[in-house]
Amino acid sequence: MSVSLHLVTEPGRVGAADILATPAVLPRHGTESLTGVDVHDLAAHRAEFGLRRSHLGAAAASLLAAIEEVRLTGRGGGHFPTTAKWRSVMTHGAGGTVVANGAEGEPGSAKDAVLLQTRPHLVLDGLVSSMEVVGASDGVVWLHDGAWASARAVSRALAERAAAGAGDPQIRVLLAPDRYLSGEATGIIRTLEGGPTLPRYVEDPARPWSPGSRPVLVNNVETMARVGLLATVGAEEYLPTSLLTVVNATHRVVLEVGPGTTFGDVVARTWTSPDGRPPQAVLLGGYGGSWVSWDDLRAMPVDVAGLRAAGLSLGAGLVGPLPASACGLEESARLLRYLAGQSARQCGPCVFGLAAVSELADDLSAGRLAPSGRRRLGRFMGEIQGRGACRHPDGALRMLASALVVFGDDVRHHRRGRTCDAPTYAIMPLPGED
Amino acid sequence: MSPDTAVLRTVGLRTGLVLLVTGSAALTSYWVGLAVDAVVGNRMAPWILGRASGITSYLLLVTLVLLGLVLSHPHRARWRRPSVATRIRTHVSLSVFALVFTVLHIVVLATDEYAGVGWWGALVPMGSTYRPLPVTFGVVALWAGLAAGITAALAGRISHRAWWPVHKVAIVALLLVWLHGILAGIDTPALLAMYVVTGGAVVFVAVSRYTSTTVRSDVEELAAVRATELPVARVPGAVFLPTPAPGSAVPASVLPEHRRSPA
Repeated sequence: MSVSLHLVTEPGRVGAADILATPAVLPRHGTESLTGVDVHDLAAHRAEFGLRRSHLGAAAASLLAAIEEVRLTGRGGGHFPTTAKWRSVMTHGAGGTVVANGAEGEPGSAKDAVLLQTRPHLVLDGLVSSMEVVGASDGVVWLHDGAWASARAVSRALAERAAAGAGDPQIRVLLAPDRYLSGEATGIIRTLEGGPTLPRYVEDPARPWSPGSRPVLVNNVETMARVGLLATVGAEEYLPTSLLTVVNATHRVVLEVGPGTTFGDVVARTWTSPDGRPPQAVLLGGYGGSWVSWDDLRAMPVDVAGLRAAGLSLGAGLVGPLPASACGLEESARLLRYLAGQSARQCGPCVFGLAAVSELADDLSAGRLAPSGRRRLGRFMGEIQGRGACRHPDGALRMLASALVVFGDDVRHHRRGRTCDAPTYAIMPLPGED
Repeated sequence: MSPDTAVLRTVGLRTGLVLLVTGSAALTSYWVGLAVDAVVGNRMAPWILGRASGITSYLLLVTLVLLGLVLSHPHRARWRRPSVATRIRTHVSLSVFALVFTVLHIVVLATDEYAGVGWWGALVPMGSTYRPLPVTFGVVALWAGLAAGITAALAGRISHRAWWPVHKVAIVALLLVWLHGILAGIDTPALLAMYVVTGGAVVFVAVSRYTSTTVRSDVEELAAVRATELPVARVPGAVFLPTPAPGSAVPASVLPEHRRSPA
């Protein structure tokens, strides 16, 4: 099939500070064969962005100021200011670890893989600079097992830098088990402390490492790439862009857009409708994100602050349009089943509660849910909310709650004994399927 | 559900409950009447009562333990009916009834001069002149059962760590009661069959409960998959990996050790 691609940025602001010049196209599953974006080796990287400035000692303040100036926030959906996390690590002394988190657990998302494979030096510049600022001695690129293309790109880039005498501190590449929660920060820290890659309860979110251990800073690779951008081109040329992954029936598109771009533009240029009609809704952020009706989202700009004001989050940058001919409840129940199965099985509300909610959502989408079951669903959702060490259930429930609102007509239609027989299904990619 | 059907449902449920209670009261009165008729004036009355209360107590204890195994079964969350609250209430009620019939069993046999047990023999191990070893099994089971029951009654007021391990002596109590019954309580082949069948049922459910995958073993399985360090990243300068053609195998050097084939 033919895919027409356009660069979607603000007119006239396509400058040297853009991370990706063109959109990348990837298959529906996996990140091995990526096309559309040129791969920056060290020479191309330096030609495009220039040399990384050192931020050792007194120069650290300038990078912190630059990060604050562009209001860089975490990619976890909470929009936690990046420097707040850094300062917390800095107060606990030098000799810690900085992790560039590229274990993209979100099955639909591929922006981290695109960054690691095509802009590895930007990510590594960000990692090295953040290590300099917080005084860390150990650098880690955290990937998931099976992300071979990304692993190759990172090890090649590390070798290039060593050969060029970049003078980087030691950076290790760690491969985490290939699971949804492998990118969860407390699980990463637990691994670095010698434990299993499973989330744990943290009393003080500003100090997620164990008492007596060296401090650990975990940032998403997109955050690292943006730090790298600030460490090379500086804040003056920095554009507050967003990296999005748009899910199509046969492929995915990763693109960078400026804050003036609307979701209508993004979908019109990167999404092929299977039924010739515009989507009915879009899953925004990730599988633990929110469904937003197309009418509400179409005119909204891709802007973190604007979305936040509307109670939405860009999260992992997933944009999953739901075709008009698909059933939103069926799709949500399918994703919920996956999320329930990805529980680390440590906390009761997640192991039992999420499984029970998933079963009820299955019943609802199959038209088998009696009124008493609907009341139970509402009660369970209320009881699980806000519980579990890593809040895995919160994301899953957010997605389901938004589905019950956005697909309210479908909920009414799926009365006991009635299904919708929607012609298209299985819209979002899940691991292990065809 | 419309208001009309809801009212009908409530009325139906209450009528059913009244019928059930009336029926079971009538049946119980009939059985008690039969028992009194058989026992009154009978020289063997203490023996009959002691035997009947012992068997009743044993069957209640078997049901109690079976329900306890179900309550702690790893798959318990998959069963929706009866509800967890009903299961626990039934478990507690069964323990009270088992205790009542055990007390009857002890009182009758301890006060029967011909039984050769006496209060000393009924409450102290090896204190009985009649079949000392089987009676001792019953006596020890009584104390073990009381320990399991009294600590569990304090659950909620004392730490889970204090009562839960003690609660597991219940299975010892059942085993001893079973031996007590086999060694001292069989006078017809039907009773032997009862002990074998009920004992087999408990063993079956216990095996299912202790061999099923638990949540903890699930976590251990997840925890067993460890993060690995990519070996090539340690030797900079020597790691320009060839990009494999699409579809070809990943070069072995990139694979962490646990993923390399032994060949």
